[in-house]
Amino acid sequence: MLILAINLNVKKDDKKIDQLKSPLINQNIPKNPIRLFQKNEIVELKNVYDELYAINFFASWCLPCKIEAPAIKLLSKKIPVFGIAFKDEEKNILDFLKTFGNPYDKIGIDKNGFLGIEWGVYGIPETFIINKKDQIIYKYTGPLEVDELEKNIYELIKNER
Amino acid sequence: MKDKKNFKLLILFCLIFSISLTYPKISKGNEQTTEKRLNEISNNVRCLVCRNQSIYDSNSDFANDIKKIIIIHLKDNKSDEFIYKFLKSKYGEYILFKPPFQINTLILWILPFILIISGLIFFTFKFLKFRKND
Repeated sequence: MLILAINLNVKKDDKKIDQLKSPLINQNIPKNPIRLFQKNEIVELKNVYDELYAINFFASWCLPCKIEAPAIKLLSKKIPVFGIAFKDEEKNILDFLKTFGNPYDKIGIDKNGFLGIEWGVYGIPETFIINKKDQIIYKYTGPLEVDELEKNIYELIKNER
Repeated sequence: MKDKKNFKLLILFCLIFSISLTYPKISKGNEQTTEKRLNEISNNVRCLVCRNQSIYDSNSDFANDIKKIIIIHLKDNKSDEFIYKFLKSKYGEYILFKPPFQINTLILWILPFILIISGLIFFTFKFLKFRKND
C-alpha cells in the first residue's frame, strides 16, 4: 500500500512538473517592454497586436525547440507567432532560424531570462495564446506537437475568432 | 577665531572619517542580511525543474534565475511576503514548499491533527473495551 501511495504521488508530481497550471491564465499579459531582435526597437506587446496571437519562448541551444519547429510553423499559418529568444546569442539565433525556418512574425529577446520569469516560464519551449483583450488564454510547456494543435489549439483559435 | 575655525574643521574631518569607517560595516552587514534572507527564501521555493529540491539546493538555470530575481527584490527593500507573492503570481502555489495558511489549504494544516486525535480516540475506546471485557 505504501509503495503504491508513493508511486501515485511521484506520478502526480511528474504531471505537475510537465504541465503546471499557470496562475497567469485569464490574466493580462506582463507589461514588460521587449527588445526586438536585430532592431533597435523596444515594444510592448499590447501595442503590437490587436488580434489573437501566440508567444513562443525558444532558444537555439534547446533541443525540444528544434523538435517543435514544424508545429510552430503550422501554428504560424493560423495566427501570428511572436518568438522570444531565451538567453541566446544573436549568431546562434540566426543559425537556428536558418536551419529550422523562421515561423515568427516578430522576434524579441530575453537576454537574462528575467522576461521568462515574468511569464512564469520554467522550461522552454513554452507557448502561450493571447486573445484580443491581451489576456493569456492558453499555455503549453514543452515541445508543441501537431497532435496538441489539432486537439486543442485549433479549436481554441476557432472559438476565439 | 582661527582656533574655533580649526576646531570646526577638525570635527568635520572626524565626522567624515567616522562615516567612511562605518559605511563598509553597514554595507557588509546589509550584504550578510541579504544573503541570510536569500537563503531562507530559497529554501522555501521549489525548483520546478528538479525533483523535490529547493532552489537553494539546486544549481539549475531555473534556480539561479529565480535566486537572481530574489536578490534584486531584496536589494530593492521588498519584504519576504512580497517576494513569495510575486513568485506565486507567476508559478502558482506549487512553487512554495510551505503552503500558506488560507481556506483552500486549511485541510493540509489540520489533517495531521485530525488524524492524531482520531487515532487517540480510537485506541482509547479499544483500550476501554479491552479492559471491560477483561
